[in-house]
Amino acid sequence: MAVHPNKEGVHRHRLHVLARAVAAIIGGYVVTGLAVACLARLLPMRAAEASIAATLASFAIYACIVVTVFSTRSMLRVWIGLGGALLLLGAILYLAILAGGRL
Amino acid sequence: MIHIVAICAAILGFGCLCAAMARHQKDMLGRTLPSPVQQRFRKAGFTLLLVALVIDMTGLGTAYGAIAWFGHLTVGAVMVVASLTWKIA
Amino acid sequence: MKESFRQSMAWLHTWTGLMFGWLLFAMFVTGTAAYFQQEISRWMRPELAATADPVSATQAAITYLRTREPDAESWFITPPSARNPVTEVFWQPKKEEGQPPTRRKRGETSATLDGHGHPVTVRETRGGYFLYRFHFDLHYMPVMWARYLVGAAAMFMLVAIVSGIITHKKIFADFFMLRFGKGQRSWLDAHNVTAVFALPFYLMITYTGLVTLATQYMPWGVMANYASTDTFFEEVFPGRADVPRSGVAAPLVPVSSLMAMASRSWGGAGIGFVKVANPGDSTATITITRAADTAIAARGESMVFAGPSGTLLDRHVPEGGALATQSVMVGLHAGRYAGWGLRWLYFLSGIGGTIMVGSGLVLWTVKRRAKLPDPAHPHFGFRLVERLNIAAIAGLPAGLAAYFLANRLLPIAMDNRTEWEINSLFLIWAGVLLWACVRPQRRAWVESLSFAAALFAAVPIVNALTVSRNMLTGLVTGDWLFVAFDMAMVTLSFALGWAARKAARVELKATRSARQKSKELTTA
Repeated sequence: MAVHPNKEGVHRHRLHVLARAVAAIIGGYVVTGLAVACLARLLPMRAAEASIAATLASFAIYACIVVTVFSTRSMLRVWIGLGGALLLLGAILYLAILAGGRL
Repeated sequence: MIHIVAICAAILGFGCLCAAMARHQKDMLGRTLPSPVQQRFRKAGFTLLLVALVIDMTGLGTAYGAIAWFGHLTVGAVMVVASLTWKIA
Repeated sequence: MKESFRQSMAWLHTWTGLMFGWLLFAMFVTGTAAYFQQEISRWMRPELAATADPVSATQAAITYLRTREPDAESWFITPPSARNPVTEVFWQPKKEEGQPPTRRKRGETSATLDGHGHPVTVRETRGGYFLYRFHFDLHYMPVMWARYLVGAAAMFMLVAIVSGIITHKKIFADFFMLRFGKGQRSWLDAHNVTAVFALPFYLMITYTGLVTLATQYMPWGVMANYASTDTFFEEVFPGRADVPRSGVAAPLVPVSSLMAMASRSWGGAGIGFVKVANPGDSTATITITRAADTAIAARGESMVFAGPSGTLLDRHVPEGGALATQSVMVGLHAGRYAGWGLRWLYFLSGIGGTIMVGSGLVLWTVKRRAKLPDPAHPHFGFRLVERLNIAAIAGLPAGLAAYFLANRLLPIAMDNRTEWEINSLFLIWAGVLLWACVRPQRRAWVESLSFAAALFAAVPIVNALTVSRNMLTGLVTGDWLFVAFDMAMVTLSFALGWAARKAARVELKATRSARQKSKELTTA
């Protein structure tokens, strides 16, 4: 990472890192959870199997999101990406549960 | 037994792959090798690693053998690096 | 970020590695040891020498349980095996009317029996089983917290592996590169080599580790389809619900024929587990589960028999793809299916992982020391990392040796012996941390590593002085466990001693160059 020799630069850098970390860890976890839930409802297998399959994939999904958050150029794009995924997946999940209910 | 044979194949395989690399040839053989010889070493190396896989799968079963193969590769690679580093020291 | 993808992955790798590096080091050390937890437990109970037949031992255990806890809700029996000569039993006591279930102390609802169903007289110890549980339950904290911490560490590790692969641009060119005596470059080589050589293992072990506790970390897949976890478990494991007692007494059939029948239907596989629900009642059931060392999948097949008649009530239903995959993944992580050769390969890979994490931690400080504005007075964060490195890399091994020494030295009849063996591990570990904090950094490395080496060297000696079985008697009588264990202790001692010598050489070079610099300043 570029080294900022001045105090204000260091402070801004640290805030930037914190923002990325929060986005990746918390934002990433929320999006992963929603993705897993959607997969569990949409995968074409019996419910128990779909639940397990989605759970198995969850950690790979989470890892990919974290890597993406830290390699995206601008912070704004990160928030837009996470926010968009959250809304889209949340909507899909909501409709899926509304349509089918839970066992 | 199977483990020993497969590890030997892995050691030979990685030894060939190591010899196929210019930066290690000076330490291993005292000279650099011409390009076609390097190619042959590389082919031999990968072939030997595959031989180790075949040995493992035949001797230990498909799944069990495949898993053991990764461990044999690790041991083989460690042996080659250890002897190379020792030789240099 | 303004830098390239690879550079950002390098940054990510460094920080995810560091944040949980010390916990990951501890997880690698104890996880690696856990592959031989049965052997460690046997070494820590040297009074046990005999083997036992699993079928007659189970029958004898049932006789014991019938006398000890005839109206328990269920009995759980782990028969002896090739790696474990005793029968472990525990039970769920009968719930008292109107009283909430009391938390019984460990030992009040469990027992260790010999092949004839008598409690063994061995020193109290948690043995290698403690190291296995520490690997994911840690200690001195509620188990749930520990598992969340361990899960976070594993997730950080997964990201560290992925970012490490992306950032290691010379993964093929530097494959065989290990140069000693070149400072930072040597540490990087060591880290790269240990990381790359067992990379498939680390990917597998990290991912499967997360999967093992996946329902705690990611319950959303189940919750998306099921309003309650009970419905989910009933669908996946049908017929396992508890049935209340009928009050009509009925004796159990001998379990030996059931075990033989189960074993035959599984192609001769051994029995791993026997559960008796509602023993002595007409509603009693006997569930027999296949031994873990006969198939990769962790969830062994099981058969449920009626207790009084022995009729087969239920067998394990064939699992769907996802469930089977999950079972195999857990099995791969625990490695219970592995024979001796593969078990040693798992162990060596675990050692590789331990060195990988340790060398990564040291690399972090070596790299940053070069960039410090004032190397003689580093800032607090840097000093903290250095001390924690010493505490982890030298302290935990020292604690492990202390655990083994405590097993031999603590009086057999003392109260809470088990807890004090465990406390010894942490007391020594904490001691090394304190020592590292008060000593100059380079000296602390030399002293702590030497201390750990000395403790490991002491284990075979103390063993020979306190117990009749040791490496020499082992070579004569074929007692290979004691031969192998002593050799492992000696090897670890040599390895740590070698590391201490290297650290001493680094310290010597550093003091010489510092002296040279001050001479130049005074003569200038």
